Amino acid sequence: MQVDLEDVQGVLHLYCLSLAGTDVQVVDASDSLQTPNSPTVCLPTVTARYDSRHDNFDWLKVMATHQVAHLEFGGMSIVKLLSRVPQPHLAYDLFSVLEEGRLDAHITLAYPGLRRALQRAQVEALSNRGSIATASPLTAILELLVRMGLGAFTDLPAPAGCETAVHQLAAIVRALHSPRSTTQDTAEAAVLACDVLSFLPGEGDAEYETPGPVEYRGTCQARFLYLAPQGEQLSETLIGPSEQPEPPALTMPVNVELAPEDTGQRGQPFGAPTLLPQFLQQLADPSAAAASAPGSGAPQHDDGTDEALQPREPGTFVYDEWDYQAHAYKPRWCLVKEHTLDEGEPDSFNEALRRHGALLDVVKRQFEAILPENFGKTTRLTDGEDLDLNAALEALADLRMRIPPDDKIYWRRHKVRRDVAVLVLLDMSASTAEPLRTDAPALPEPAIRGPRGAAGRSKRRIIDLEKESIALLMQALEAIGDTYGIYGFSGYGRDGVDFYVIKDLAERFDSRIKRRLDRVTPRHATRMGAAIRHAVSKLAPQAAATKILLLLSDGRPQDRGYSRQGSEKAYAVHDTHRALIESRAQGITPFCLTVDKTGHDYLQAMCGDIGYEVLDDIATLPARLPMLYRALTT
Amino acid sequence: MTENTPEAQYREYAMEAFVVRNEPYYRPVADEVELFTGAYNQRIPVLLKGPTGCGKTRFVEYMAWKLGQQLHVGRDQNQSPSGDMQLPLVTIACHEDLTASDLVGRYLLDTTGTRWIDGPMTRAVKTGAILYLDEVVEARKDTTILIHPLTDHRRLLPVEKRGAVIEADDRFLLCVSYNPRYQSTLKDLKPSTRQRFIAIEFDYPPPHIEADIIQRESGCSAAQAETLARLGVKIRHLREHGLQEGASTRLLIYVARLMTEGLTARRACQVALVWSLTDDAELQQSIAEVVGAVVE
Repeated sequence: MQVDLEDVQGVLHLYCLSLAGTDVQVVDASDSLQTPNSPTVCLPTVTARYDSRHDNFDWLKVMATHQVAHLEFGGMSIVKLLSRVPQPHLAYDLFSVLEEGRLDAHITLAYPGLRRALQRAQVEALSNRGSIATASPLTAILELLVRMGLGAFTDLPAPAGCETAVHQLAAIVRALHSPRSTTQDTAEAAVLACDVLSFLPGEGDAEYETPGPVEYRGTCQARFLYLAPQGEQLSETLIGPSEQPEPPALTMPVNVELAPEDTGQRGQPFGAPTLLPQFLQQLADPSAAAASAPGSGAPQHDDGTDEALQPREPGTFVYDEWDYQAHAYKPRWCLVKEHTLDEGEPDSFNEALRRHGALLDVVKRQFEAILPENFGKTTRLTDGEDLDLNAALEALADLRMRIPPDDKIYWRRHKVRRDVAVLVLLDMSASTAEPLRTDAPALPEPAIRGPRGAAGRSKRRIIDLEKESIALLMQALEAIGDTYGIYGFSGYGRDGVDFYVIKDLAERFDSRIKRRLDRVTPRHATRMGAAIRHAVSKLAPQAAATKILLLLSDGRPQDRGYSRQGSEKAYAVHDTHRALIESRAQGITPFCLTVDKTGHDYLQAMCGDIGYEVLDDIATLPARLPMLYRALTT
Repeated sequence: MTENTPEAQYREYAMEAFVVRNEPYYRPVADEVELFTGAYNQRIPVLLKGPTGCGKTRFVEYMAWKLGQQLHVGRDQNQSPSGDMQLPLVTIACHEDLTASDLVGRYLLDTTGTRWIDGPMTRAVKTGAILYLDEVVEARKDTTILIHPLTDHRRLLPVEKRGAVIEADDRFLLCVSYNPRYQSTLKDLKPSTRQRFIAIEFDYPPPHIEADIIQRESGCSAAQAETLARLGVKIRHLREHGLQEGASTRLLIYVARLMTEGLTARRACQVALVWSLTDDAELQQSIAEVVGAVVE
């Protein structure tokens, strides 16, 4: 019985995340449209190798485990090491073959429960290897290394005159199967293997064929390149023309910015799976790479001034911005313009409630169920429904002790008013126009696959799902009676942060609010710090005992000129963090909810010990948003 | 024939007389023992923070025993037959219905009239116990405010109903605990309460230490304990991805103990981990797959 990836993708995603300790996307290997921007595991759409569903699922598990092993047991830059050898291309191929075998050995040791499935996959892979009878000696030896990596050390058909070399290489492979081996060891082993092979007669400049792939090890990313850290140059001879598109300017530094936690930690390659597509793209089109790589060269959209701004129009406000490198605020740096959204049609609001009708019922019931909990029994009152027995006894005891008794000996039920005010701040940046992938209709392959952005994508966008979620949340908030405001933000540049009023804190919910929600659309950039500060200025004066700022976003903060230096991403994250800290100092509890699956990369720095949540599956946003609010306030 | 029924075997102690008589097993992870000892010597209240099942309560028990070994106070009722001094440990599980009277005491009526009965806090203060308030944020703030005069230089407990103020016994120490992850915005320690304690943060131990703990607590083999510790690390990666808390050390010990009873590792993991941690079907299956990979 076959296993369809879409049925098990969620389970495998969590499985890979558990093993790797970092978020890993699980994607369909046949989806040529995907552009992963986080570690990715590619699996086949349908697996039907065996009769039993269990065996087919085990095959997928083996594939996923092997690909995750590159994150778990792999990961350091080997470019420097390999660039020192005379034949870096051969060295890299040797490295790839040896590393795959090393990872399998680690999997066998670390995951004994998977041993049987892995061994079966290895046996099948061995039986599918082609003949090397007519191959050149170098090609044959590389193929033998693949077989050794699959566990075959006996009856290997070594080419004539190469037996000693094969024995030496076998010893190298066995050494790499030690539980303490690392990628560094594999790189050194590859260099050593080059040395061994250089002594083969006539092999100095021999042509050879790269060994064919092993199916269960995955081929989606072709090979993992363990890229150098930012700023290092890559040698032309390492990349080689035979595998990659002709690089027009290989002396250009590969300027890829890394998150701090990606530098130098064991088990985390320098963004290898992440950066391979970017790397290939940079080689193909360096001008596009320069525009997209933040911090590469001079900032492209700098407004070029250091002037403080002045609010000259009604509804405009200026705020400072935190410069983490200077450890100081830039005074009056951002100008926020507040707009009340125009009114559209109530259709999108009503459509949201219709679309999520069943969920709405559940949400309403859950929120209404909170209310009876708020009918507290208050004891020790001067008047009430009945005697509070404890208080009455104590009063009697006090009388006996000749102590004036307390007259508060009654209790009653009463509605405890929730004293909560919440401000929901919705990111309306351009990225929210991205279509949703989760509800893409199933399409037959491959004829209908059209240009990028066509087949396989829904017409609904992230912003649409966010609007639906807000509609549900509003219904929940109306049910429970908390004070709330719904706002959006976007803008372009420090002098153009737009702050949109969907429902003000003081406004009542009515048809105007529904029509304003219809006008929520993707706009421009995301200067979060300024938007948060303006939101705080609205929420802080509220008299509620509990004030919550709920930030709903789909990505990291970024904007034109959100720094004058090259480290824009870090600057934006730090300024946002500062704004959140400021909100807490004003008695507000901030919380960030993002649908950006790579959110963990920057949210830890952006939020610190402030609560945040990354939604792995954006489709759960309508259900999650109200429940998150409930969890925060009960 | 009359069958003899076995007598129920239990021991009942007065709250302030409960002492930890035998050394509890506790494997230090960092310098928490030294920290707590230093705080006790200076009578500085201690706040323990950490996830569920990571050893906070066991640590308090251990420190009550260890510090008791170091004391030299001549109180007969607290002396063990060996002559060592012991430090009573009074534990209160906090909840939102906990009132000041529950902690301090109240007058009761009986056939002879009224009598005052000390609450557990008063008893701990008088006998010089370690008073351990577990999950302190669950209690209402008007209740936790009681601890303020005990936790500053005064070390006093006012008993308004009796018109009395009790100076704490020199050996008294207040210790509280809570799990920062559970907290909603409505339940938190006030800054004026929080700043009366030093804080020791706990987390699940590193795998090699956790394996030792699992082996020692359950009697399983070292290899089994190492496997379970590795499994714990993997499952904890699911925190923030559906699991509110990862697999606690306590649960891993339960797995090991079931294994020593003859259950297979996978079955023990299923009942003690997969089904305990979550009711979500997809999450359960994912955890089961991780178990299936790690455990043979």
